[in-house]
Amino acid sequence: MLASEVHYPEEISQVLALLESTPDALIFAGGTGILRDRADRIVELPPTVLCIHKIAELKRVNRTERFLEVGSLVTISALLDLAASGLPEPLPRVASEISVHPIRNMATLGGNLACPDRFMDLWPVLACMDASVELRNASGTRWVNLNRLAGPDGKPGFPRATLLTRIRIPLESADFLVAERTGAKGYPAGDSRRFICIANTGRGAIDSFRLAYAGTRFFRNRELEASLTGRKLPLPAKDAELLGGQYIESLSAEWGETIFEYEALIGSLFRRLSR
Amino acid sequence: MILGLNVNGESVQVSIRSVDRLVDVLRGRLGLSSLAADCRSGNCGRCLAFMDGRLVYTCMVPAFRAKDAQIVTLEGFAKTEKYDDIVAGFTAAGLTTCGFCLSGKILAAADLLERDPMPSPETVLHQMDAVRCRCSDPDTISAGVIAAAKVRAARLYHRVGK
Amino acid sequence: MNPSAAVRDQRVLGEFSLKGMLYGSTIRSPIDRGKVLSVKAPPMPRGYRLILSQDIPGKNRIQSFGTQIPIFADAAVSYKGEAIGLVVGADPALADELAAGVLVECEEEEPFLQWESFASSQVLAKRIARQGDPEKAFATAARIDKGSYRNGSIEHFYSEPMGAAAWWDYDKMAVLCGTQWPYHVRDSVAIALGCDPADISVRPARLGLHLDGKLWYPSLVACQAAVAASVCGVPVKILYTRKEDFLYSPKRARSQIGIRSALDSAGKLKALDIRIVVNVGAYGPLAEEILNQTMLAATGIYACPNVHIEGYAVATNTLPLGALGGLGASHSYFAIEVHLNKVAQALQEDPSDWKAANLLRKGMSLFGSSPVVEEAPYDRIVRRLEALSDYRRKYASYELVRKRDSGKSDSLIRGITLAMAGQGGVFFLCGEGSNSYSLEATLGKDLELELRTSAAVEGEELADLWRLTASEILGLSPEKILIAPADTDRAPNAGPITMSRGVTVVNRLVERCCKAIQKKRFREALPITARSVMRVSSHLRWTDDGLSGTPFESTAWGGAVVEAEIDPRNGNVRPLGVWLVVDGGKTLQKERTLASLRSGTADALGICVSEAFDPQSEGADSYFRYSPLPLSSLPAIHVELLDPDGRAQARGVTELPFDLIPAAFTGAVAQAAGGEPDSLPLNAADILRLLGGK
Repeated sequence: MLASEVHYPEEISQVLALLESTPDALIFAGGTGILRDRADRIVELPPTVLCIHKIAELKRVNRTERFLEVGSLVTISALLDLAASGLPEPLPRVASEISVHPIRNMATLGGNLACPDRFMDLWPVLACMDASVELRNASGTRWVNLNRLAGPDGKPGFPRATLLTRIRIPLESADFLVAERTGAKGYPAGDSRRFICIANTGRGAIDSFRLAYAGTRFFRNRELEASLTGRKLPLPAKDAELLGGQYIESLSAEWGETIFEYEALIGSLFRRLSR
Repeated sequence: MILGLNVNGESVQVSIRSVDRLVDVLRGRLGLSSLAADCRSGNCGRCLAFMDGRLVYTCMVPAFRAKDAQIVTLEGFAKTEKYDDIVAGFTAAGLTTCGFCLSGKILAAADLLERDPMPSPETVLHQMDAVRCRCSDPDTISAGVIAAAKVRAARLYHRVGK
Repeated sequence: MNPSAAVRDQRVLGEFSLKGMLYGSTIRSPIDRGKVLSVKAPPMPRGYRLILSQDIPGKNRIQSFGTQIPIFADAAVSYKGEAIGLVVGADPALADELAAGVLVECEEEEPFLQWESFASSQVLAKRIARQGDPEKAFATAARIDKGSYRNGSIEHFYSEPMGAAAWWDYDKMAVLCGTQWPYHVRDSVAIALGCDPADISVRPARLGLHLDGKLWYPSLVACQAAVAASVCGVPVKILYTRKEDFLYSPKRARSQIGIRSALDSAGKLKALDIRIVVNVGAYGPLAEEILNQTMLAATGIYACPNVHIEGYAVATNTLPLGALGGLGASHSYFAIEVHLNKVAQALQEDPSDWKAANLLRKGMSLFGSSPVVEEAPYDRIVRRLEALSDYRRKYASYELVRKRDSGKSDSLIRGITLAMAGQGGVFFLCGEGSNSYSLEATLGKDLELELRTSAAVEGEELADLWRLTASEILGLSPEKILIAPADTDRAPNAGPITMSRGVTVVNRLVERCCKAIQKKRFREALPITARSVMRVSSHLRWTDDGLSGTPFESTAWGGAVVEAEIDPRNGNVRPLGVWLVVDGGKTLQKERTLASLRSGTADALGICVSEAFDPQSEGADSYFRYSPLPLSSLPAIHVELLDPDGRAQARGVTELPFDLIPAAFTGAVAQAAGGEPDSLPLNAADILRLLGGK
């Protein structure tokens, strides 16, 4: 039975110092992702655990006209409470579909984004919203567009020995939204994935178009998005079919597989754009 | 390690291992048998308790995470009028359970009524998804929680009748 | 330190504790099939030890319906995860760790994992039923349809995981165990310890919901605990974690049913050729019973003059598979109802009309049996369903939409279908001590009545029914009627509590005892004790090619309509509404019965949409992926009980949702999607394939 040494840092600087000395230390916030797949009587964790829930700075929320900045320890429940004062869709909708209330009370935004094995529900939503995350480690602090935290192979690429401290969410609304879950139901595992499309189509043309599909891998094709931007609506049926086909082929080429549900969602999305 | 926390209004110090789940400490060391470590994966709801005012699955909380936390289990909640409201509501609706999930159902209902004093049946069922048990009949659960809400409202506003 | 008053309920296995108690953790086979060559344990800390088959003082087996199952596999293992021994010690987590570290060396043999096609050595039971001349009927049929229908394994998620505790209580071995059959536990432990059954005292733990998952397996775990307690001389408790229970305890059997049907030129059912294969896993202790039930329900409630049915219960080297919410009829009702809905739809007839024209009526014979004396009250049930659900209008509308739909629309599409089934309670489990039910009642001087029966394991809902029955006869208030604990020391044997026998059999014993006491109470001094025994007669038997006896006596009948909606954009299917009408005879506890049917319907919908478990191909992660339907995903469920229409006796009804809902749901999806779904659950990818085939 492996015992862990548990630390309770109260400042970010303490976390960074511990991470520098023990880069493989486990950062423990809500812990729902860590404990979810362990149903044995005891919970064995890495030798060093940094229990960071006491760090007040990581729970702050700041709102400006253009952005919402949320500390990484803000829980999913707390994020949903912010919806009352305005959170752009589909973020609150997807957040409300995460598990049940007691899980949302513990699960943190940071934990959802920093999952090492897969992209959890909020990842593709925030990626399509072009959210940024603040990362801190011994070398310093930087803001990174969330999309850049997917590795070149499309797999999660959260850097080691790094603390995610804040998430900056642009407060831009969109008028064309698709947010669907495909694959297995329940806790994201196996073939479970999120399909997100956020677009602006208000003036008879596609002003912006972002589409992401994520599970154990992340898919987003900026070139295709760019090729859609500026097109007049409704799309001619042939164009819609062609573009949809390109989206399907692009995913197939990247992931080496065809996914029936993804194809169905792409088909229906482009039919909608062609009406 | 020694864990200091507040359980049902009393400060306790208990020796724990880093591998222990909070539910096992509360139940096994502190004798709080309203909690059961069943699914150990945040599904069945038999380990529900309030931690720092929030309803959580204590099977999903390592004991070390509960340092300095305020924990309220059914044993503590049962001393409140809110508990009486819920029991009255469940009884009025004829809600019977297998017995194993009742504690979780009561706390889940309590949590909901704090946030939404007059929930819709749909909201009730979303909340009660936190307690997964095959004994659950959705209509009666919903009726039970809504009845509890009415009992609570009547108590708070001193109304006679329902 | 106890922050608040907390009382342990020593009848809840999870809370049970005795001073000095040790915990047992199971050592399991790493292979599907083979021989155990050696068991090597890591160095055990003081106070921890290994228990293996050689430690069993008596016989290393339990007996269940003619099948012998080892308590600890020694020479041969028959499935991965089979118990080989225990590690016992004071800390359950450390015992788990030590058990996981035990090295079990085996010589692997080729396992039997195939079951849809199988070797003759795998056949545990076979039945054949014939009627008329099916070959000739097929040869001259106007229309032939065929299909193959599959049912998967389902997890029970009963109220408490498997477990047992055992300890010496003076001169007896006491056993605490959640079980549907206390006397089976008693007799099994006696054999394991090599002693008289009177030396064993079984004290049933609170059972909660069981869904027929605790018929025989608890006896196995009880034997393991008793052997360990006997060897160690201290109390021993085994309590599986939920994950361990999910991975290693029995699940619902799997089945594949192939149906070929022939119609005459008028569209009437002329012949059925049905092949039933039920995978009962390793040992298959309920193989005969499950096959009996699936065979009986194979043709549903329909008349067919020419029938050939072959049924096989097949063993595989997987987890033992058996009962869930009944003993097998649900497999057949699913197959026959889905098939005939499909046939009716192909004929462009409303399935409810087509079925009405093909009912098994009073006086007709089923597979050569005596004529049916009680036919399904089809017309009454269907009329009521139609009124509640608006079935006819919706079916016709959705048919129109289906025919017009080119398959490229993104609009939501709907379907609705009706299914019919019956739940019989009296026929099966008529052997091996399973057919004799006893109850004693004593009216004391204080005018309190005590009822004693091992059927009291079923819990408070059933106890309330008995109280109501006794109260009506004796004029006592229910508070004055006590139900004694179902301990084998005190309560007489009431067999296995399954198939609603607590209602259909034991409640009649309550009636008899109370009537006997009522006759004597004003003439004789109190206390007065009455005892009643009922033998469930095996008046229905399978012969070489058919059935002997009268089928469908004491059957409860039900019909269900399910309306479903499909989103063709993503393949999501949503049940929109469920209507259930049940004729269960006399009902004493109407609200409870309705609640029970609603929760059964909720479970059955989970089978349709999300629950599936393949014990062979999935690993430990399947525990985290298995997902019963959340309450918030359930549609409105309307349940109605028909007036008993003169029938005095209560009938068991709790299996009916499992018999009805899967077929009705599948039919609704078939209408909406235009395809031919043949297995459950139906996930989004399956729906999209059906839609793509349009």
